[in-house]
Amino acid sequence: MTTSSSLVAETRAPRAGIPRGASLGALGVLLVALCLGSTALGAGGFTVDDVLHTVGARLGVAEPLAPLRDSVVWELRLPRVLLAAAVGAGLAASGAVLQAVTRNALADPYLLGVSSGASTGAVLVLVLGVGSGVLSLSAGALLGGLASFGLVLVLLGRRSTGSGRLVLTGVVVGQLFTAITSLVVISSGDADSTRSILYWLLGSLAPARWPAVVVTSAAVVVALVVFRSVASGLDALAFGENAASALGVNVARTRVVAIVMSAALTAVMVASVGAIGFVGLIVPHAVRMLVGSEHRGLIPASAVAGAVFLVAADALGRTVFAPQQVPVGVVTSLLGVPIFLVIARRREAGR
Amino acid sequence: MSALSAHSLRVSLGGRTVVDDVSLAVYPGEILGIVGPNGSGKSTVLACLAGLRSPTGGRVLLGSTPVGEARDRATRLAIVEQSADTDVDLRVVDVVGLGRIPHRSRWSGASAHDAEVVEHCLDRAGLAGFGARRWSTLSGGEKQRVHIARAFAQQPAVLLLDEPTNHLDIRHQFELMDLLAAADEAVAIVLHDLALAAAYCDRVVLLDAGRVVASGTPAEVFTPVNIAHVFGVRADVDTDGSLRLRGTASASSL
Repeated sequence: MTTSSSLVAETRAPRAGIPRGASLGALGVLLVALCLGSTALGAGGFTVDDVLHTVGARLGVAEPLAPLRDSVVWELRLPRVLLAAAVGAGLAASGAVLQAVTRNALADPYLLGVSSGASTGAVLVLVLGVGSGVLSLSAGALLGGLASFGLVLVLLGRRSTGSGRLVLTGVVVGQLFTAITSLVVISSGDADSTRSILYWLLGSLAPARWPAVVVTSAAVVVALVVFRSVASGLDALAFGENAASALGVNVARTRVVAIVMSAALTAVMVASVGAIGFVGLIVPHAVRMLVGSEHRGLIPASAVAGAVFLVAADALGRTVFAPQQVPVGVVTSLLGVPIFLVIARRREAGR
Repeated sequence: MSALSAHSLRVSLGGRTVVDDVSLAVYPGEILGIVGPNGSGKSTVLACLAGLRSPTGGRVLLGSTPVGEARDRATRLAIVEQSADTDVDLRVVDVVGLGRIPHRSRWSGASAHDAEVVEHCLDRAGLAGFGARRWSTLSGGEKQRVHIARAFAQQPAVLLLDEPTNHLDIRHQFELMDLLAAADEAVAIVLHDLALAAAYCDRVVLLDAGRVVASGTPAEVFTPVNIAHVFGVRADVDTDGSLRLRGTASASSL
């Protein structure tokens, strides 16, 4: 209660002047601008105006571009950018939720073993040729992801309340499926399929098409509504399960709803783009500095910031080594490590 | 009428009875101390009172009704744990605001009224101007006061505290007890420190091996005989009612 410490606190109050609504609005404007810019970016010399015309033509309010240029924007660029936005939003929102549920600052959406299981499912489809084409790859990934999360739940049994146990079980199941994936790749992969598996494992937006955009966006919207319903419960968990129960929160229900929804959303996302690291880990931490830790504001703000981050990362991946494309998962990891270290340092400085 | 009462509480853990036939009552405006050696069942009794644990036998009444559904309970009874900490980067107003959660529906956020209550409770806890401070920058004593402000913000009839002074230096212990002594709520508090209990509690329940050994005013409960019997410690009681402990009791002095 000394004067010096209150002075320190005042000079350090990082979000005193910025209302939460303004932060969210600014992030939203940034996202729209980035999406337009990123769609125009790349070969072909498109402008933002061309992008607006293409979208306007679909809405019947503008003249379309020449057919070839129109299809490049509408069939290739736009779905890719929108899928990046949807996946970024879903990863960051799930990350924020799982960090609260597990009371673990290092939690991210892949914690639940979903991504490893999805990889196994996808690899089985690619290597063993169960079906063919992008759609069945996604289906395999979705099934694999749900199977591994199912295994996590079975191993947890009825004692699903301990967050330490959840983390450990997720890690163990993740390792198991990673090992199975490696086994399948090594024992039966030719050079071609190994390359496409590697590409997919790293997380890539290259094969993005409209169906994936629609499915993923719908899943993200549903998840945001569900997350909103447990936001107060997640706030209350800050001081542990007993404290949350004492505040009248149904802790078991809050945890189950949050974990199952995160796992389902992650499975859908991994199925369409593979495992893109660091978004779910670092974006929520950065957003807490902006809007505070109350989940009613944190979750939607994380979603928008996650979308911004992934759209920007993909734009970088497409252009820096053009015409060679860097998978977006590589870009997020390269950007993510230094950002994570900066955030960790700022958190340290705060105590 | 009592704000909170327990009637013949019994708790068995794996065949062992850890709380046996405990009855007690707390009235508005008073502090009831629950004291006893380690393992005497103090914290278990408190968990039953709080509704966090279901007793094997007996019942707990909040006013005249059983401790009911969790959210309703949280608006009538608040708990301060021994030392509840968090890694989440929260401001003091965020922590105190947690106390408003049981008062609103799942879909609505904090209202202007909630903000007023939080401000008022910060004042009450002597934390005016602390609202923007970050949790991680607070001392142990400040953190406990914030928890008490959060408990106030639940606007309960009953406050339950589990050894809240444990990690505090002597001055912060007194400050915290002064704060509780000024409260209108019924306060039940588990305490380790007998001198603190003697100085602040209106009434005391002394537990040993899960049973009530003595209950009444501190002067009635903290007799040299009771203290030697339950704690194995020699004690003198001064004429003003204050307690002086004199080291372990040898078998002969019993």
